[in-house]
Amino acid sequence: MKWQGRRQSNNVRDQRQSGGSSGGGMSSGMIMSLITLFFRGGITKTKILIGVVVLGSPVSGGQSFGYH
Amino acid sequence: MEWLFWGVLFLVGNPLDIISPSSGFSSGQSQYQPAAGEEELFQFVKVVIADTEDVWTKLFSQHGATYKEPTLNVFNRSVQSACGAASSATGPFYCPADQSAYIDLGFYEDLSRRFGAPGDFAMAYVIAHEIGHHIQNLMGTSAKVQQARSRLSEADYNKLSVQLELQADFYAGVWAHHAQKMNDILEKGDIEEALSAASAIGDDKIQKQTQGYVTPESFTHGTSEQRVRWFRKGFTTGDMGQGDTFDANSL
Repeated sequence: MKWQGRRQSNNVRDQRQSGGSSGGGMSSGMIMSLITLFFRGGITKTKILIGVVVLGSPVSGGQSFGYH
Repeated sequence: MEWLFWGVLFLVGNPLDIISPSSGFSSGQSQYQPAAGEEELFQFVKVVIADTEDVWTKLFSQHGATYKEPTLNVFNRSVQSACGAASSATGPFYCPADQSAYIDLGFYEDLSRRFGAPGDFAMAYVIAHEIGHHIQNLMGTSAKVQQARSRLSEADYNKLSVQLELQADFYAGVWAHHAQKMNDILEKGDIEEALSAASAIGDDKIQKQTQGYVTPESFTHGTSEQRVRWFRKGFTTGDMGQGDTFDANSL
């Protein structure tokens, strides 16, 4: 395709990120600490229920995914 | 105390969202260093999007409508869209909720190595297909499909999905037709690259590669032959009126 020197859109957003944990992400150490904290004191029915509700909730906040 | 912590975490949101790197330019994010050649690919993508803006603005205008330009989000690793968190493994996609397309530039390599469809115009076709979903969003087609979803069985919805996807292929072809007329964009072999990409990502071909057999009732995008045919039809005619895959006698 002939594209060199042609108009470039302003509607392209660069969301590339550097490697490793950055921005709002958690490090694996932090995640492990949270898991350890969660299971401290043993597994109870309430903890299982919370786990199911939290992890089972849609990542999208209830919206279905887009189109490929 | 422990429960208070987890209660707060639950109310704040899904932990998977926290685990996933956030979108945009949040504080603390270090400057991204693109790999060699990636910046050129990034600029190429910007030109393709500009071409889609030129074409669809003109076509909408001819029908007395205004084209609302979408945003293309280029990401690597992971991204947060209004449709949820996605990773590079998700592949390119369009999210109607934020009227944005999302693509990892690494997909260019995937097209070449994994799908055997190299070339810049293969990538242009993929982008034009996602913009095709934006056209469907603006025209209300995807909303109708979503409304029908709750009433349909999975198999019936899959058929509707195939019609939607083939129409996006058709719109990609319409774009190529008019972009050539307006801006003389094509080089020798470009259309073959697009057709090769359309063929490579047909449901039948992917299923054969991944599971060794084909289950047509689970198709969501159409066969290789269908995808090639609808792109070609859009490119040959350039006529939006001929892309009604929902009313076609044969897909």
